[in-house]
Amino acid sequence: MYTAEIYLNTFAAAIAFAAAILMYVSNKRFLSKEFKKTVNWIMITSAIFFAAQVSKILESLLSLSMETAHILRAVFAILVGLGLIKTAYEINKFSKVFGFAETGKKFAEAFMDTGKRKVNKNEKK
Amino acid sequence: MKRNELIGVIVAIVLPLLLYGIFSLQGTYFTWPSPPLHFFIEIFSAIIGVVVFSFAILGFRTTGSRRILLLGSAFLLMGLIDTIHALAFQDMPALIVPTGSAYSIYYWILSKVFGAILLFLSVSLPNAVINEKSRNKLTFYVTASVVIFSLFIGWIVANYMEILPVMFIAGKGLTPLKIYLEYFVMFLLAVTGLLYLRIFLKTGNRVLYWFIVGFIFFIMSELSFTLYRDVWDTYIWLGHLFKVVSYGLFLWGLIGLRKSS
Repeated sequence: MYTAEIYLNTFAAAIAFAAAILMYVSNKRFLSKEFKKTVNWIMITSAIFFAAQVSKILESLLSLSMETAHILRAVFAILVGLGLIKTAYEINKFSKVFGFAETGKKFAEAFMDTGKRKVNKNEKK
Repeated sequence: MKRNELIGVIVAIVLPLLLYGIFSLQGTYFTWPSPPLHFFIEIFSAIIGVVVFSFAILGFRTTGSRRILLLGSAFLLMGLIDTIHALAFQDMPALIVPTGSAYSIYYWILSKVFGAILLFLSVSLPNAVINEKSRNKLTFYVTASVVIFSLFIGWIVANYMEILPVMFIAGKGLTPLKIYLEYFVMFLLAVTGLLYLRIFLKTGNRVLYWFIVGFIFFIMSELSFTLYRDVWDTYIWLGHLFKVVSYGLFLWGLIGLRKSS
């Protein structure tokens, strides 16, 4: 691994770590009950991402074999992916609160072959 | 169609053609390698693609419209494969997939061919309504299939490039196969746009209008990808410019919906 790559991985790990800590503190101190589960999942995903970045740094520092490194990367990629899916699922629960569900409904209706064009008075003339 | 709507459609057709005309003049051809800008453009459109998909899924859950599900999956598929395309582009560091013009062109054309087919199917198939019980399951199956298919495309191009037909020859330009595939995509997008235009003329829905104008810019963007001779030349940048405009219009349509909600 190049030195620049180690720096980039360290930087990404630091951001993920900061995000996880921020989510933990927010959850403990500021957030109401309904948001806690969602933020918990963001925190968990950030923590997995942090672990993935640390393992990438260790790959070069411990000179792991290519096979081991690839297995580690694949495992972390799957875990991060699952974390993201679960987080998206939790965020999706708020779609009604923020009115996204209503927008989605209108979006779908726009493409359906239903409804009639609204004609204003000027157009009628 | 109202006068200003008609003007919008005409501008979307004439303006890109005018720009192609200007840049075909002698002395206007240039090459400018900028991997960061290309990456930014692709990620910008991929994010909008995912946003369109998210709203499509929300709409599908309430209305059960198969049309919106197909439309949403087309945007997700293009967004995911375009992200791989951005990572595989020439002069990018080989972080996940191998990089180079051969790889990035394959990701690009496969994203557009499959995306255009899904978009065409969304409007050409009759709009069936899926029953409420199956909607959540179907959402999961469709999302998982699109993600797995995108990863499969990523894997197959990265590992079997030597057996795939050539799309681009450095110093010469595109092969006929690539050009005809782009024409095929343009044809499908044009038919899709026309069929949606028919619905728009009936319903007059504004979001549909912005998507139709977006499709026109999308077709114009594809046109430029039949013309380039170098992966960093004038036509590549024009094509990406029209792509940004096209995705910007899709987003604009969604923003209009949010305002009216």
